[in-house]
Amino acid sequence: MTKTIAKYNDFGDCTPQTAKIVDIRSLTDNTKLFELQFTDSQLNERFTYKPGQFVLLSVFGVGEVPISIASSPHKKGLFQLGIRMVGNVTTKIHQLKKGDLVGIRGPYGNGFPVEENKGKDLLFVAGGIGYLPLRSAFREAVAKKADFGKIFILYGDRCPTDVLFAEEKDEYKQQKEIIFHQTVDRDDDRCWDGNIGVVTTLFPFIKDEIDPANTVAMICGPPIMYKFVVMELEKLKIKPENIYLSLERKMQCGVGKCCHCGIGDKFVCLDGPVFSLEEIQGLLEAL
Amino acid sequence: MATAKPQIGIVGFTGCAGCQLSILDLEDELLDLLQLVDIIDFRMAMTGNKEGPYDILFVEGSIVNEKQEEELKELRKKAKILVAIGTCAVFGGVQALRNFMNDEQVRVRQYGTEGAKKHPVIKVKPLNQVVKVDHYLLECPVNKYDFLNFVKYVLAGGAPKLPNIPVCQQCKEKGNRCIFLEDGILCMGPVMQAGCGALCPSHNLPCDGCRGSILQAAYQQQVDLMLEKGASIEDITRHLLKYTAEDEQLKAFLREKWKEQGKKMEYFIE
Amino acid sequence: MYSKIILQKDLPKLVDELVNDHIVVAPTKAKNVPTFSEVRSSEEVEFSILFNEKLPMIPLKKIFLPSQQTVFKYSLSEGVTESCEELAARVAEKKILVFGASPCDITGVNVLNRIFHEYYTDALFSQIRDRTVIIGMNCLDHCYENCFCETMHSNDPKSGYDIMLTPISKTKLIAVPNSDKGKALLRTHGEIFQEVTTKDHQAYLKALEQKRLNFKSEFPVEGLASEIEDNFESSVWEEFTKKCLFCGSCTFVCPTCYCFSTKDNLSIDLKTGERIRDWDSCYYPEFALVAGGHNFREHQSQRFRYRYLHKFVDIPRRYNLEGCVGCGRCITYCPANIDVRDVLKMIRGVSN
Repeated sequence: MTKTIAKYNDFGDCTPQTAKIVDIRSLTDNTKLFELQFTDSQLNERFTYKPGQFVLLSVFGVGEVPISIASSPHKKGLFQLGIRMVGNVTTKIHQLKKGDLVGIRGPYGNGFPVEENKGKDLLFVAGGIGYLPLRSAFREAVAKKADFGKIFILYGDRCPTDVLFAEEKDEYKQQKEIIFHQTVDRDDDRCWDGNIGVVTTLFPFIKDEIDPANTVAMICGPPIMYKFVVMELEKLKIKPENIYLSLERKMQCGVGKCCHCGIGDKFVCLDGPVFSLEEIQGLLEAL
Repeated sequence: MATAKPQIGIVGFTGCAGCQLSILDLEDELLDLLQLVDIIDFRMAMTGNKEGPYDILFVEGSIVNEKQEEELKELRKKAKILVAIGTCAVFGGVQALRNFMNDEQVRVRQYGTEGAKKHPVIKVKPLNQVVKVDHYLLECPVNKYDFLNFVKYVLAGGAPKLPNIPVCQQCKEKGNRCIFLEDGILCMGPVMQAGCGALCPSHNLPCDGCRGSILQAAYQQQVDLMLEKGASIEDITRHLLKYTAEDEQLKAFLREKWKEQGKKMEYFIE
Repeated sequence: MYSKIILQKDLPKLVDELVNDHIVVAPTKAKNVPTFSEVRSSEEVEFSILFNEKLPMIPLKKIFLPSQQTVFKYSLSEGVTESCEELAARVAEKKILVFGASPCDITGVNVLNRIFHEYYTDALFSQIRDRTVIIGMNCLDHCYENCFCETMHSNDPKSGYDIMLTPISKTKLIAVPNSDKGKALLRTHGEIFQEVTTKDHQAYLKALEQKRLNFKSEFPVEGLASEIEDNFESSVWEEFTKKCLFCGSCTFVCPTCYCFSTKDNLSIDLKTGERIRDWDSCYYPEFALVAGGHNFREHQSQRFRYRYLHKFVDIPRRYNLEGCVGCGRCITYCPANIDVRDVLKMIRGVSN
């Protein structure tokens, strides 16, 4: 599949648009879901995005970071960002309250090809905070279940307290088209009754159900995870052009200028963040 | 923002008090600063000082005897955030070169044979060898704008970050002539933390590295190049340790380098 | 004929006229090093630099991408108060004129111009560039031993300047306009210029022919990209890593290095602030470090290699342009005496 870089809308090249925090929900000890709305109401109508696209979030006075959009695209008028406290900016936004202002540029990047793969089985492999952008993608597929085959979701976290949207598990388990498996790397407090191990330990549960010719895989997680997940997918005989990975890199501009996210002749911000394995197999330093 | 203004203290141990002076030198911003914080302890500048409790305590100077060690530990108990300011507090400063001299000889030279017995000295320590330090503000004397930015960021809820760029970047930004390259003057710019606006090289003086070294500094390459330019390992060591003798990363590297040359670095200063 | 003749002795007069309605940037020796800086009169201009003594240390990029630049301003209670576009318009109000840009520097600006217009136009860069008039000074021979512009095809830019001055004798230069702005400028300052005679024209053609003969390519760039890629794991990278100080000097003096990072500057009242962008260098350890702690180029050798990959593989492939203009500044200003040509030759040597 050839990808084109689309300019999804015409605002927010260098200057962010002002947005207001309208709701904050705590997902885990260190992760919050922020619901945002532009102060200019016209922008809320024009702000459309694909799952897997990202915005550059400005916390005024501290700085700017790329954050994947966590809400489903069909939700109009507002959007959500799930943010884990890891750096300076993300720590500061955790201190903000409802009504506080932030800046938003974007959406940028290409997003996951969900629409483009109607009729296929979809396999989502998520690690940690990578679950949020993938959730945006598979919620879109789940909402249009009839258009897709089976939907596999493999989700791994470091520990039980890091698990996001734990309550949605039951919803997925009730639907026979959705095959949902979850794991944690370790369970020091002995409070986890599911699988323990890294996300690749979930593959044995699904390997007999995968139809490699008709499956498209989408992956999002910490950098270390990709190599191992790709190995599993290759074992399942899923073709490189059907494996999509959302790559993480440092970003400052989001529009292909600052050069921080360069991998070979690609920029993660413009050409990604979602790449097919086929595209990056020849790229040095990609995985 | 919190309603009560944060209570701030600025104190000094062994140093030249230059850091405290540097803060006073913030003439244009001092009044604005006082809108944001209450300075409750600043013996160099005012009377009616209160010994804590501090929301932020800025400490200048290094620790050179046991009495100071106890005092610092007491201060730590009274401070929510303790910030080491300036080269002495962060890396030991010039006086920490004493750590590379024979202890006994130093005391005898200073106090005479009899006096030496009465004045025990300990190794010169940067603050973090005695208490937990929350933040570090660099430069000799401390960069007043770093200080101001720190206060701003703490109040705004962020944490300031070291730039982690070598002095060479700021030299190039200023369009300075490179004295290391063109005149062969030993300059530590390539491995030392910028933020000073390349102050010394802008005045045709070499960087002595008072802000300490950058992350993953290319010591090996820098030292090899200086040896190539004709400097001795003794010169290079004195140069590199002049301000930052207790920079562990740097010290460990230099020990190895001396070993390579079949020499031992201990007490290399006479 | 649009072209005109100017006597070399009249160049100062031209500069003194130009400063009346432009901010003139010209080569000077402001800090004991050749540099481009703003001049208020011809007395400040170092004309010897113009006639190929040495290239200014920091190339023209500093006009369009200064080492530090405000991107937008904000207040905590109102959000963005002054956008990048508004700031850019204000900066671009100043009419900047560059006097004496070398062909390789013009090519360098052209490379940046292309990059800063890809998909998203960078308002700050493009507005300043669009409003700046560039008067070039042609080179007829390699300006110094580190110059390898012919190798990188950079000494004959087809666009990106308004007038090119070419010396046709010891006393005369021909001013050839390359844009409407250039033509207008020659008209406005018509009194300083003379008409081109047949003899002048012949001298011009002869000078260009001499230029063609003087410039020599040092090595073929054809195939360079794939050869570097094939030698990704070469030990040559490690060898040079042992010399490189990672000071980033080469990146700041490079006409085509444009990396930047951003930071926020909060005012003392804690109510307003600005987003700043600052030059950055891919040689620095935090360049590819993400907040989670993963560094995508953790080792010095990876960072050393990346710059070569970006210049000689990635830029050519992505933009169909040479990512290096062969000005040799990175060689001249490297404290560790690393020569980009040596690195490339050794990398190629390994593949043979």
